[in-house]
Amino acid sequence: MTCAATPAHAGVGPPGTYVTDASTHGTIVVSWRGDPARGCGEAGMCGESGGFTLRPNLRGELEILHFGRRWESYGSGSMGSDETPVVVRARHDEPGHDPGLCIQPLPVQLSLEIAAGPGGASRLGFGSIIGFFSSGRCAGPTALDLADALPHADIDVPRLRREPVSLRLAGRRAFAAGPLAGEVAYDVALRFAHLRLSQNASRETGAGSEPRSAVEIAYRVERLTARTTVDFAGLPELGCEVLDGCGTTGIVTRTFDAPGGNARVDAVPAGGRSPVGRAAVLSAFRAGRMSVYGSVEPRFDARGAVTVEELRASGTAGCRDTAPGPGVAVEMSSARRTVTLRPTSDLGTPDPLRARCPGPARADVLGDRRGATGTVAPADLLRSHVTLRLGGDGRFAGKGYGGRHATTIVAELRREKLIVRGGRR
Amino acid sequence: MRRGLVAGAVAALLTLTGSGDALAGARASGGEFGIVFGGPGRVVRQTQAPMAIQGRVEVEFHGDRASGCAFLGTCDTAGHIVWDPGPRGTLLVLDTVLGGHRQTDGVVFLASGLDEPASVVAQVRRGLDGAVATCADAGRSNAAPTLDPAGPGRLRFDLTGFGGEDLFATRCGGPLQADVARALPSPRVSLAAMRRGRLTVALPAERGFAGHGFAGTVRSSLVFRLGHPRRTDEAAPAPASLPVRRRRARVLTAVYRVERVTGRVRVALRGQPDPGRCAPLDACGLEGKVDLTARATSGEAALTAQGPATVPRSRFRAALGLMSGPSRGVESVHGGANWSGPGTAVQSQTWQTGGFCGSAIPARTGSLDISVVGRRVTVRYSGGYGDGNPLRGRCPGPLLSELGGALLSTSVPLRTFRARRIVLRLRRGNTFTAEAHMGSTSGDVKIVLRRLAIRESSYLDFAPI
Repeated sequence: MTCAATPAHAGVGPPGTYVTDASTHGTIVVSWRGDPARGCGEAGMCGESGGFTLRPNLRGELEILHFGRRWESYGSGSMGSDETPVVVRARHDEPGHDPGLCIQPLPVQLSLEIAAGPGGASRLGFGSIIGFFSSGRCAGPTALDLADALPHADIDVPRLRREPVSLRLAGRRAFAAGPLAGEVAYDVALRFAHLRLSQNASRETGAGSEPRSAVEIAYRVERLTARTTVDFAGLPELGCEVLDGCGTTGIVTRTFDAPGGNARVDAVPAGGRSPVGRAAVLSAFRAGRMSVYGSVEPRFDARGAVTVEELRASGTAGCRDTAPGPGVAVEMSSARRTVTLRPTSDLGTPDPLRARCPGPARADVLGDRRGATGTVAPADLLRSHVTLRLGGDGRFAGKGYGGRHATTIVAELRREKLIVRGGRR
Repeated sequence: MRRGLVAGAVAALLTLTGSGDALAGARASGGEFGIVFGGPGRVVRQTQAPMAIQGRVEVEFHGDRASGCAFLGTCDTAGHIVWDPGPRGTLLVLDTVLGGHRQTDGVVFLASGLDEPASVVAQVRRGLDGAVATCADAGRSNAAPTLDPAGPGRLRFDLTGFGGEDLFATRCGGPLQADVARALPSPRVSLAAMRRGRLTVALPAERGFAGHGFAGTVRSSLVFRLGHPRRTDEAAPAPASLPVRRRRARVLTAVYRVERVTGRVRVALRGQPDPGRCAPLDACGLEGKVDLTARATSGEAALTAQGPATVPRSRFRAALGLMSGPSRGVESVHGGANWSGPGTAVQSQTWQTGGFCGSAIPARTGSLDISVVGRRVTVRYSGGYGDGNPLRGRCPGPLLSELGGALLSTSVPLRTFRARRIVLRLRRGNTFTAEAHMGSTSGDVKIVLRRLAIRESSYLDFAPI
């Protein structure tokens, strides 16, 4: 049984933070296997199968924010998480060979979440406070494949103001993951006590006054291309056995091609005396005496974000897969009279280096690093056409796999707006 | 002697606030951990340094006749376990003074909430007349390696650490940490060099072990790279970016001695009937039990009430059950107990398809969780802590956390704690459905506590507005 959706703002209290005592209990089993109908033969993945089990046994206070017309929660509040580890187990069967077993603890923390859904409804579902649900380094679905696969249902949050609500989510959902077909079998009981107001929404304080002297530049992204290649091998000294990666070599190529988007640069005086007058501000900007912050945010097109992996294992057919991935953005910050460029952190996004074959994770290849860097002179940011180039390469040794990586990113920008605020004496 | 740090940190982990002096002296709000040192002694210096970590420890093992595998049912068992500490951690070095003696201890807190936390992975095969059943499991590791005093100006790495669970604990069978402890690397390092930082400590090892039904090899490729240390014993100001209010908080603690623990617990186990659930952990057709004998020769317990110092002391006493009356304004009441003694845990199990496994381990420690809601106190006995987890024998089995939080429990009126001598009988068992196992717990454990003192302390708290 699920609650019927009603307009989320009907007959409830003021905007603010609400809490309800909630508990969940049950099991969610995610499983997958190679599917001939989806081309597993061509991909060399018909012998792949695997899965993991989630035990959403949460209990505590669920914090729900009421924004006036919608209800949302960010994580589970103080509901804690089940301590049972989430373990990915993936099996590779191939005629004439012993079965291979890949085991990985999934660094995730299950949470109960409420998000604004279509038509004003509130959608109740399960997510992860840390990390993403995927097959990790083992063969199986990517985080994007599983993004919508976990059970969810509409919930009438205002009804919780009037009475406790019990729900049961039970059933099976199929999902597709490239050459793999999967299923999520779930049976979860959820209980919510009365919703009560915890804290009224605080008034937003006004933004600080704008600096008197400033430079603002807006660009149109004509094109942004990015390419990362990773040559890897499963290495015994790195513990490849538990990932069934020993004796394998492979290449991961991640490409991103965005045909448009926006970019922006903001500069304010770096400290000390503030330049006065447009000419002085521009001069200070050109000379690198202003603090510069900026971002390049290309338009995301799923067709342009692709991760291709080819895995070779001695004496076997190997594995090939192409999977969609997240995009690439660039951030700018000034340092020592120049502007440093680097990719925006992708730690909060699905792993961009994983397709569905076994292989290294982003954490193995790049760790805390961004993988590429570049610089641009502040004066060049004032040109009508700006080209940003970033690059980087290196060796890596991670869990089970080691190798080399290289990244190049090129962004072509067309300036659309330049505002120089000269300030006052 | 590492007892001070161990006791202190374990006490902190179990939220057992101990002496008021130590609590006030070591409230390290400047550290990343916010540890409240609750052990004996006074912290006089606290240093913290980031650590980059590479490598792992691997245990490769097989059933060994010379070590008694025929008796324990492990002759057809082989596997490997990999402990990976993750890419980073933080070293905390504490100088404490107790009875006029100064001692230095260290502990490495491994990153726990990041992309790649410390983990342990096990793959264990069990032969069945040509057929093989495989148990594959993995999990986060709560280990915290320590640095123990090892002569003047020297510290020794001890990977087995404290507080966390057995380094190699999973739901699969295999040797225990204690079985391979001698084969683990434990290099000595200079305390002065450690304080200077920017130090690389390698822990290479390839050593054999044998005993308790298994033999094998321990290999380590661990390298710890210490970054720049900084002192963190000065009380740090509250983060400037957050609006906070300062207030004085009061902590009232009733301290008890664990006079006696006696009793038994049985955990009856069987595998889940669904092959999809039991097969990954080799629990299909499994029937077994764990018999735990609980005994204590020493131990301590505490019940702590915490809240604003503006709330009258009498309400704190009422919240601890020491007197009648309201406890309004007291924000939290919690407690726990730890004991040590000559307990034992005996595992025995069989599989319908053939095969058996037996294991006997000392259950040297026990712990209670005490929670107060309204006028009732719930007491939960969840086995031991650290390597005293009674379910972690050499045979496969569920995690303690899968048993619903407690082996046995009881609920008593808060007024029970008004007496100086308290007798708790824990007889309420539990049924559980774990990932691959199901079963029940039953038993009868008697715990006698005697109140020794009531201690009060206060500290400056930063509370977000």
